[in-house]
Amino acid sequence: MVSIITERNDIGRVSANLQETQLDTSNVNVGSFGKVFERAVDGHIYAQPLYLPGVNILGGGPRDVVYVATMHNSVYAFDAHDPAVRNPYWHRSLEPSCALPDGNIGFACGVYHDIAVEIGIVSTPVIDLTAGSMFVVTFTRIGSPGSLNANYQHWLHKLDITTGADLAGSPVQIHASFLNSNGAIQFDSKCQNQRSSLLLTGGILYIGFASYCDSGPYHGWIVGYSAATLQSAGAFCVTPNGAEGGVWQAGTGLAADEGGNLYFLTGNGSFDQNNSNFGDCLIKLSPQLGLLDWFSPFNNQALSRQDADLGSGGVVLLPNTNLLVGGGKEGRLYLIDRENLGHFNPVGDTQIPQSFQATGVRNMVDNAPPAATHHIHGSPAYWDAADGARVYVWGENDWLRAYRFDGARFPIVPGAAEINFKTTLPETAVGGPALASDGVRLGLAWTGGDPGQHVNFETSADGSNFSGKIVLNEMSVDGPALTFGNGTWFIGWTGTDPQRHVNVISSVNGAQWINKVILNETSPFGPALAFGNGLLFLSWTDIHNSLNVMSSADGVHWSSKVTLTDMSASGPGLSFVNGRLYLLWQGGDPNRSLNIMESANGTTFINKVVLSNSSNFHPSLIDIGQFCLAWTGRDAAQSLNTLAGVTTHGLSNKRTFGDTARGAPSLAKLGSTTFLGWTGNDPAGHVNVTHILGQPLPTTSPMLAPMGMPGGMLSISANGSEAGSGIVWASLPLQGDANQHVVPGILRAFDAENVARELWNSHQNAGRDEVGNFAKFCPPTVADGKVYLGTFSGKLNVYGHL
Amino acid sequence: MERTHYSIAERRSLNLAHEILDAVFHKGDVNRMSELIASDTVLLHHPVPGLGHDYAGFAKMVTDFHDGFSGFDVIVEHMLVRDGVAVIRWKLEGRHTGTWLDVPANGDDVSTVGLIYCECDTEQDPIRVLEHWLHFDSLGLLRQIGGLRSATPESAAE
Repeated sequence: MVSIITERNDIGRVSANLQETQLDTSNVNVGSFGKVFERAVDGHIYAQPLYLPGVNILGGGPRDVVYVATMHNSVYAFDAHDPAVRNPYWHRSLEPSCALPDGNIGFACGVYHDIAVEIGIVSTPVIDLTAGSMFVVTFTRIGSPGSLNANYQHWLHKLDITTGADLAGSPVQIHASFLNSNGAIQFDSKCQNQRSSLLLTGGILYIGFASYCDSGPYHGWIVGYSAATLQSAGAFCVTPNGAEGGVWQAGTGLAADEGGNLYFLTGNGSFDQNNSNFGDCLIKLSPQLGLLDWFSPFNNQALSRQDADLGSGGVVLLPNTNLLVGGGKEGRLYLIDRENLGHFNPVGDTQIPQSFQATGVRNMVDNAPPAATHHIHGSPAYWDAADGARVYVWGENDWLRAYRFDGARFPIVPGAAEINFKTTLPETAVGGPALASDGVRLGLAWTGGDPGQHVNFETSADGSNFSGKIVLNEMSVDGPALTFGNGTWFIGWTGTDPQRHVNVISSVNGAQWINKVILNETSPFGPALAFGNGLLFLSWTDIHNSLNVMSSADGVHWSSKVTLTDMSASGPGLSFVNGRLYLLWQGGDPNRSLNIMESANGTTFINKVVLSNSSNFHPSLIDIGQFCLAWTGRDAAQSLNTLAGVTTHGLSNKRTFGDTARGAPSLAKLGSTTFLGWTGNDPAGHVNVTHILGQPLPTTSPMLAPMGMPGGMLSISANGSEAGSGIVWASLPLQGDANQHVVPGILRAFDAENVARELWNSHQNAGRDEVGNFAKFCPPTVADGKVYLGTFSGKLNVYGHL
Repeated sequence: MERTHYSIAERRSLNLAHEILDAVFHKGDVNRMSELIASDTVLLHHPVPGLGHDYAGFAKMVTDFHDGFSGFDVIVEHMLVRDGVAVIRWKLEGRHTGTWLDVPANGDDVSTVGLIYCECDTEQDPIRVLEHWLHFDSLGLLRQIGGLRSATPESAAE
């Protein structure tokens, strides 16, 4: 028998019941599983149902009980299994709820629709098994709707789980204050939405607060109360010297570790560490609510400006690790060391173990989700299956995704890259730019968009901030080539002279450029350079479209050229990987197929690979543990693409990015980071540089969440790690957008080892199993063979074996 | 917060208008004016003639009103924001407890409706009020407290 005493199953918020022995992937199907009964309640259910077996209810002996709280400020204790016991064992009506509309609630949105009908118990209560008590927070209004004289209050109740009666000292009205630079800031219930679920750990009850549609003045608050005495146990304000920064997490409760430290994400608001304002942050607090550590994404300002709350989701403390994972509206998952959250790095989130775009990206079969928002609401779910652990997330307008987790990272597929930390430079270019590295700096060369089309060079230590720009007194018809070797930078270009001669110039410091050589070779396109085995290699497409290669020890004195039989309709690319030179070009065939050939010495080329992919420009190649090939596609938008593989014959996992390019892209490595440079397809043709990261690839559900908010609210049931026992339960809208609307819902069940396999859904036999209206942000509760699902239809649904 | 049709700037405009209405006008905390409204903001409080369009004029209108109708209530009825202009329509309920516009207290219950209008520069952080109006039916209030004879001929109702 399992007890579900807190939202998402435990204080790590893993959303998994690992003691489920009755429901498995073999017996959850439309023939044997469905709705077995429902129970009427008096309001919308935002709170996840809680479950306790063997409760000595009303002194009548042990009963399995499901507890339900409503927005009408009611709490019910229903028999969890017996369809015949229709009436609750007890029902408490607490303070009157706050009926809507109310001009003081959510006024910043004009007309407030985030919550419909009334506001009462929004968060999931929590049960103290030892004390036999349940904590619940109500919201009430004394006065008329919209009256500025009205008094809004939150009350904390401590109820006897066997009778529903208030226990000693209960209820207490919630008050708090917090020191700020002007003295102290006071908690004001009127502006504060108690949405995140309650946390009980170490004898202290923690309560998180956000806002109603950003209507202020409000702040994110965490307020603590002694579970034993209901005396105040401190408070923490997220933005004491600023504003906003709500703690809502789409209902997910604060997480806590074994030491009682708290972890949570905050929403849009002031971010200024020097003034203790932490909007759009991950925050770690001590049990006494002292700030221990924090993290904010590098793009905090953009997140706040775009209302892209980091805190639309909560965090999951990954079991048996020191890591947590969480994410918000941007759809990125952040994997973070709980002992070193990482603070803020404006250049990129490279100080944390991993982050990646988890929603809104193509899936493993390379389908793109709809061009819409892919916010994460609530928190991901986690299951350590017999064949490995997974983290599940279902963002809005997206698929349910299951990402493998190896205990330390989400394993990446090299080349399944994502564009990350993109820097759009103020420079504009003709043709593609060229990137190379001297091991310390990233060098960038480009042909300027100025009328003279001058060749430019500058460097960057981080791939984001470029400086030391040198404008060479050289002009080029196309993008230049750049490489580094033997302590020297080399730039190659095709001049604007009438014959289009190929040129090479060098520099040891990137500032003084010398030893210019005008070769006796001409080309309609830009050339290519690569350095390896002590030699500088040069390749170009001649006026007959033939490919040519030659080499030099110093960039001044050149060997005889080798003219290949292969031809190209643009300039070639060169790359030196693992001791071999790779020549890259787009063929002159009508498809403009991408070609790769390799050579040990630059004179004899073998292993020609002709890809089915095509481009009007040459591709680029780099070693990222595997080969990674990047090119500009021939689709109408000229999208950037990558392929990866152990050999050039085995390139696969094509990824197509949302960014588009003119000219060929360029790849370079600096340290362990791979950079991609390209000329954007914007009217001016700005130069862009970005990190590219390997991308974890998920298994995805066969169907998308319907267009709109909020994606799927997830729960896992499994019998430990046993194969065939894991089920992902997802509650989501059947259709329509639950943002500011009440919409019908659907409950779906997936094989947790392969979420591409749906086991059952409530719409297969709608007459029997229909959900009613979707309970926004309310995950299903799975316990002892039953699935308990709240609704916005005044009822609790109970599903089980028929 | 959940997604809304109003941008963050628009929400902040409405928040600012609401805060001026509640903190300054309703609660009478005129000291907060300098925090909420820049000193060069055009302050138009038409319900009471003869007051300057500045802090002092606004403060006098507020304190005079609190002197006349202590403990009055404001009920927010509708809010909207367009093109940087936040507007709140509200209803006022109170009792004539002190002298207002030279009319001594008569203890009568009164009610009226009003608007607050804030044109905001949302490019500033924090946003800034460029022009502020607070308007209510002062003639109707005067009529209710006996400070103004009804202009409606009795025969008009027949």
